[in-house]
Amino acid sequence: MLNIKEQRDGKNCELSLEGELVATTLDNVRNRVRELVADGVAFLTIDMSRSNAIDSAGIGFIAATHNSLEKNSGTLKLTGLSKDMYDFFVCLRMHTHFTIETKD
Amino acid sequence: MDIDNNVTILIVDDDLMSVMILENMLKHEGFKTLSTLSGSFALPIAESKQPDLILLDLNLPGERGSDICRKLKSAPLTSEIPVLFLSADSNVSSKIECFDAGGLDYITKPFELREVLARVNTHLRLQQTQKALTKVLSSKINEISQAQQALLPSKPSEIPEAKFAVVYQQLSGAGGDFYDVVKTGNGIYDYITADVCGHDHSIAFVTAALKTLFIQNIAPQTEPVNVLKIVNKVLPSVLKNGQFVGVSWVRVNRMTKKALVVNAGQPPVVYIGHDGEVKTVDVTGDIVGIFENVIFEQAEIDIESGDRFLLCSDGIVEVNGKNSEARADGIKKLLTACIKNKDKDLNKLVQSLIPLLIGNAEISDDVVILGVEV
Repeated sequence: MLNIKEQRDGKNCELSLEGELVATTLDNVRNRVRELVADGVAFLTIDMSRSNAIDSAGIGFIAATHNSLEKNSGTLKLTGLSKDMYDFFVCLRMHTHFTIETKD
Repeated sequence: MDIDNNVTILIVDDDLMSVMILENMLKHEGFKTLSTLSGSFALPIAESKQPDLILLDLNLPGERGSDICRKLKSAPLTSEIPVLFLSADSNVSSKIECFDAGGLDYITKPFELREVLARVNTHLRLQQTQKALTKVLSSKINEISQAQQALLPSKPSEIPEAKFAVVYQQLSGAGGDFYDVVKTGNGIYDYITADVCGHDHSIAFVTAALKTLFIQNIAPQTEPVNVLKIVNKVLPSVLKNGQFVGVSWVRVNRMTKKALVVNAGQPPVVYIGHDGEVKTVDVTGDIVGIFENVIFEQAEIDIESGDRFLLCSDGIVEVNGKNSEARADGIKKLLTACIKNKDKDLNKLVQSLIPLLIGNAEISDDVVILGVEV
């Protein structure tokens, strides 16, 4: 189960995710991001502070979201990462493609 | 779709007149017919002659048509033959009785010949479409199976000089994990594990493409990082949106006593020195096939005879969950297990890791552990 809270301000949008970002929960957030990008959102922040797990499908979703935004001259920011998740994203060199921030 | 005229229809009806009318009409339309006035012969005739369709009277003396239909549907040789009921009853309960028994259609007597023919043709067409789809599906499965067969890498016993051992457990028939051992030059071997994100059957084609890309581009003078950059450019044309590949790669050059280690989104390669030192080789790299611009770090390590490397997929370190704490914990457990079993021979070391790390836990991902000894 993945709950999504959304705050939109023109081209800026923040999605707060609560739950696991894994293959079985991705459909809703993937569709919502697709709609937002199509509707002109270019600067997307995904708050992961209440998302406690991610699998390879979740990582693929994050990377694909970055690619979609970049095509529209936009950016992706991941915030609220736990220390372990931050380190994991650094291992994957995600921080060289978009901004990632820890909870603190 | 044209109906194949080499079609046989079995008519089961105790009313001789109905049988004769149906036979004449069907033969006129080019169908072959078989007929019986007794319901008790329906099953043996159907089993031995394998008709393409059965027209079955509901109100037969003795056994009812619906009971005969149930027997036909439960017999392996006749279960797929479409059964169309004929009956003078037009009430709903009789119709439901026939559909419940596995009948596909219900034709009320006295029947209109054109209607019978239209219904027979419809069901024959449906059956032929289903057979064609089954054939296509079988062909696809066969292609997948062949692709999977092509992926099977050399067994350790086939190239003993490569000195490797492997454990490979797939979650489903066509898994996303992949390993290969390639002789790249004199005394040079490439040991690769890769994990394609996802588990559906299309993964077999991605892994086949991946293997082909590796084979086409691996060369002694081309470092693994440069092969990965080529793979990264080509793979997006094969992958679905959001799909990527993680790769661990160790190139061992037993002539120069050097190893190159690359890691792109996989758990770190574990190095077990001949002197007993156990550590992870901490190099980072972009995941493959999803970003346009990528960088892969490469560690060069001096090696001695007896040194070992272990390349593992995510499945081995994510036993306790997909959260990052569990993953970090899984890597620590992997190191601890390696320290505990470092004195075992390579095959036993690799084999010992699965029960130690996974135990009785349900596997939620493919697992591959490739062990290499210098």
